[in-house]
Amino acid sequence: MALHMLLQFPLILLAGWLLAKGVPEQARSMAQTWNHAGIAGLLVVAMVLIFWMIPRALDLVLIDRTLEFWKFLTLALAGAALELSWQPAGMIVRGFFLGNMLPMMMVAGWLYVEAPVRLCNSYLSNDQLRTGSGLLALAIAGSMVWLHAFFMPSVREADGETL
Amino acid sequence: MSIQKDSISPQACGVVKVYAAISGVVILLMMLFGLIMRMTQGQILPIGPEVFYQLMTAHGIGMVAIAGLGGSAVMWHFLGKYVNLREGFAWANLAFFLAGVVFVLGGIFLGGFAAAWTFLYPLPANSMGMWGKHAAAAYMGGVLLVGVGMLLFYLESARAIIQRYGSFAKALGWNFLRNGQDAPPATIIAGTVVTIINIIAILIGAVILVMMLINLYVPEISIHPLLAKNLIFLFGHVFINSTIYMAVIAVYEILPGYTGRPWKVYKTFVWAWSATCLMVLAVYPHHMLMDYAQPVWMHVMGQIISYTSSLPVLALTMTATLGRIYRSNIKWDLTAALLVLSIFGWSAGVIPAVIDGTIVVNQVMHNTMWVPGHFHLYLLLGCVPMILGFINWLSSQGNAAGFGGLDKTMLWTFALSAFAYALMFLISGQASIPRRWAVHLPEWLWYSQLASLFAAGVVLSAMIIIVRALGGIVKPARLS
Repeated sequence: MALHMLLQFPLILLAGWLLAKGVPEQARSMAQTWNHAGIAGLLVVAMVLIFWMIPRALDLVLIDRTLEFWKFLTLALAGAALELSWQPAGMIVRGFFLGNMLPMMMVAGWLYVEAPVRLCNSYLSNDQLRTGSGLLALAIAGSMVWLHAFFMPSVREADGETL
Repeated sequence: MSIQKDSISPQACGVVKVYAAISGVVILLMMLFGLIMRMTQGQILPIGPEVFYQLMTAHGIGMVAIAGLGGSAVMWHFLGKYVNLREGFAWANLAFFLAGVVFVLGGIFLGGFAAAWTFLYPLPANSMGMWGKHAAAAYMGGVLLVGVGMLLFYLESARAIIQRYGSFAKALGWNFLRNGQDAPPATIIAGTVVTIINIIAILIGAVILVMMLINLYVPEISIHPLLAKNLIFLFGHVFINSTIYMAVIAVYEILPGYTGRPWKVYKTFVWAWSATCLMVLAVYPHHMLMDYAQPVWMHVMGQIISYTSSLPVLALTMTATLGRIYRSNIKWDLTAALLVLSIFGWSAGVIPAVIDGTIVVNQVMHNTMWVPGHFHLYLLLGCVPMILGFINWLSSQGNAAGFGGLDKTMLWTFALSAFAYALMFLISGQASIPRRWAVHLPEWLWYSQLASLFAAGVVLSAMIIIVRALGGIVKPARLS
């Protein structure tokens, strides 16, 4: 379970992010017509991640090939949407996105740790506990990195380009 | 939009005036709630315990929220002097704030929620039939909405500060510490500290509120009570502390206009604010010294940081204020007097907090009226006069006004009544009268009855100060 959520998911997101780097400039600017300030893209990312944090969804993909295909597709698309939206988003939209995602990860982690029963049929309780702790650790680490970014902005940000 | 360095954006002034007007009215309403509660404890008013605890909850959350909004008005107004703020975010914050207030008030007065503003786990979910799940959910959802608005407000402040100064490190003055050049203004340093601590506090608040909402409807998923209390106090204590750190910007910006001495930033000032930025996040365990299950190191940290947390910024602000006034030929008016009074209230309010932050004292005093004595000194004589001074300054359009007989009478009535009112809490605490009790023993009644008299003085004087100031704020807007 921990490997599924904390390793495979981020790797698929990363793959989507790297694929989107190859999107030609023309397509990128076309995408921006429906992705003003990265809002639509980040909303998609949030929705996809919310869905794949649900234990039932994790269980189902292990027995349903179609759903597993959708998992790969949606997470890769979310990674791509993240890449296409991150720069145009600017600090406020990014902050709002992270301000939603990081607490949500903390709450999901707490749920996995504190739930009195096994949430997934396919994974054991200790795996669930490990995943919850991992989600908590990931959310805390993400918060620290985000806070650090306020102190060390990139050159472009300092120029106010993406702010 | 260009960065306005020497003038305050007139656009920002519109939203600031609305913030200030709402703050003035709600502060007055909260004072009335306080008067009613003290009269109830003194058995002057026949109000039942159910309504008392609803009023206590509304008074607590109302004061925290309105001190936050009033402080935001001060911060937004003066931050706009140095950085390019976008007004829409201040309006968005207000919209979320008002929507949240509707839910909170609905939860309290329609749903009967009365678990105090601290909504400590597991009380909201264990009402013994006093209120339903939905009332608790409305309250916590309302607080969550206010937090969303505040998050937008601080994200916009962060964006504007980083756009102008490059990073928080520079805005906090750390470059100035290294090379002694380009010191940021005091407002920027204070605004940056508040932005950092409140973004952290709001996100932690969101986590515990969502956890408690889940627990409310799925009680099988329980929360570790000590974790819940730590998260709630980390969120609530940081937020209420930050209100005075926002409001003190009024002292930094307005008082120099009266004394003719600018508020210069020295290295000690930068060190003090940076130290406060860290310590304010770690000081909350002094509210948990009675929790025996809390790790001992957190108790020790709570006591030590209680002693050190408020001192750097307070000591510097107090000495700098006195230094700026001494032989300055200050032109006294209500604004200047309220701002100087606020520094007294802040300084005096810290003393009972430090005493209560001592473990051996805390174990005897923490559940007595001593603690409301501390935060009423701190808020009623510290934060509130800063906000009232700012509102009065706005109403006089930034000019020194006259200091007539009515102004002087109301100022002294307010100062003496508020001080005596807070003192009655402290004396009650010394007499071991418990806090948060709707019904008092006959031996305790005179404390509450005398306190009610002082509370009436506070309400009356504050009402005249606020109504006159709001008249000045509303009139120019109507003319324009």
